[in-house]
Amino acid sequence: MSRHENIAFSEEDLIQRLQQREDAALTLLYERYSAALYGVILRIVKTEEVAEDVMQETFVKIWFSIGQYNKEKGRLFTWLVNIARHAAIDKIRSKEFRVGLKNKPIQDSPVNQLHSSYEVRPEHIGIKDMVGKLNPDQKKIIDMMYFDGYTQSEVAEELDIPLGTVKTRARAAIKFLTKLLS
Amino acid sequence: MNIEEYISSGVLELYAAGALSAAETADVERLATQYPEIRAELDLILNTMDEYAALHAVNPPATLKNKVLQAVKQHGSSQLHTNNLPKDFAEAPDNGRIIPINRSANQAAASAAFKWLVAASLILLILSNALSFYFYQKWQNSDESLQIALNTQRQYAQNYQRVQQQLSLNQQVLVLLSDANTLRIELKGVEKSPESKVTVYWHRLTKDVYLNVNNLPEPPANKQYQLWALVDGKPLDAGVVNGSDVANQLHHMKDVQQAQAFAITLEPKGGSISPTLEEMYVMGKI
Repeated sequence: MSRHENIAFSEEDLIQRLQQREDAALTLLYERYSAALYGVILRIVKTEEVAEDVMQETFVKIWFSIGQYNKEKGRLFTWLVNIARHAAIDKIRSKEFRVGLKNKPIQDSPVNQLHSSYEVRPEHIGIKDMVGKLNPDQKKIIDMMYFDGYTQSEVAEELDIPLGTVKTRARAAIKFLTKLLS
Repeated sequence: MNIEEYISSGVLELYAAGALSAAETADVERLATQYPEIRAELDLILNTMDEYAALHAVNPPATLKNKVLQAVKQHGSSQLHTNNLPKDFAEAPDNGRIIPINRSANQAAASAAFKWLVAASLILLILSNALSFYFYQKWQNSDESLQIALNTQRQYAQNYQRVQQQLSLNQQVLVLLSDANTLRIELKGVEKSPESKVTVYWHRLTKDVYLNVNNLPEPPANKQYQLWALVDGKPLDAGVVNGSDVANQLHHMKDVQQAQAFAITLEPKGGSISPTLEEMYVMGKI
């Protein structure tokens, strides 16, 4: 189902060792998930400087709340990404962040930095092309919710579309993504 | 409930994208444990979102690893010992779900409302201070008035007590005077002072003696009038007449067991053991 499960030790093993507060397990966790988590955080906060801060906060949170992880509710990866998204979205909503952003000159704005700082991994190029096939309206809705933390009603308000349309577009987008990624 | 309809409504997709409220999120999780079909569909969707997230993977700078491990260690050493997790960590949502919070529009409204609240509370503070001062002054004035009233009341109480004592004394005297056993003896002025006149009341059974000065010269400062009871020609001390205003008062004298006559002489202050006969002013026989 996922690439991560091919690695020599199992997810359950890792969780157990983390819950026993084993330092080495944290290193393993970092090695296995840092790229995915860092990518999501960077996508949200836009600058590497802030992303590094949020990354540290994310791992501190993971370390402290690993005891609350419940595999009945979903995979470890889902849980980890949610913590990272949560931390990053909190960051961009914080006053400190918004004030800092206002004081920056325009050419320094995150969008301009994005491409130079991405380390493009060749195996991803094909997938990125595939995502490019997503209907832009559908992609926008997914990204607003997933990366910018909008609720369904905020999306409806922002895009001036009915709540029902938000739902159907989200469903269509994810259906399409599932097909692309499987 | 219609599971297929629920699945196709798109709510599971919103859940996976983190766009539901805390209550809606809890609803989805509850239904997922109840209905395996929902669980399976949800897993599929979550998996897609995981893959989507992973598409954005970027290798972090190599230096970040140590920073992260260091940060965890620092928090761990300062907080793990006490086994007391920082509040926001301990309260991290159960499964790492993002619980939507109100966005900037609401925050701006809230912060504007907060400013108004601060302004309003400042105005209220000033008003309440002014009122406090006003009432403090009023209270001070009232306190003064109360003290005056209390003093006046105390004076009235004292006066009342004095009058009450006087009244009960007068009643006793009245009872005595109207008693059939009370003898009224008039002492008339002798040749030294023919104008003088004193009345003595003597109760035969209780032996009480009262004296009323009708007319006597003012005594010198170092002298006092003294009453004598004459028994078989011998004078017996019956007390001195005290008080500054001797006239118009009923004086209670010493008890007298027996007497054929009463007389008053002027004696040095405190009285004498035997009368100075040259200084006799009045005398009267029973």
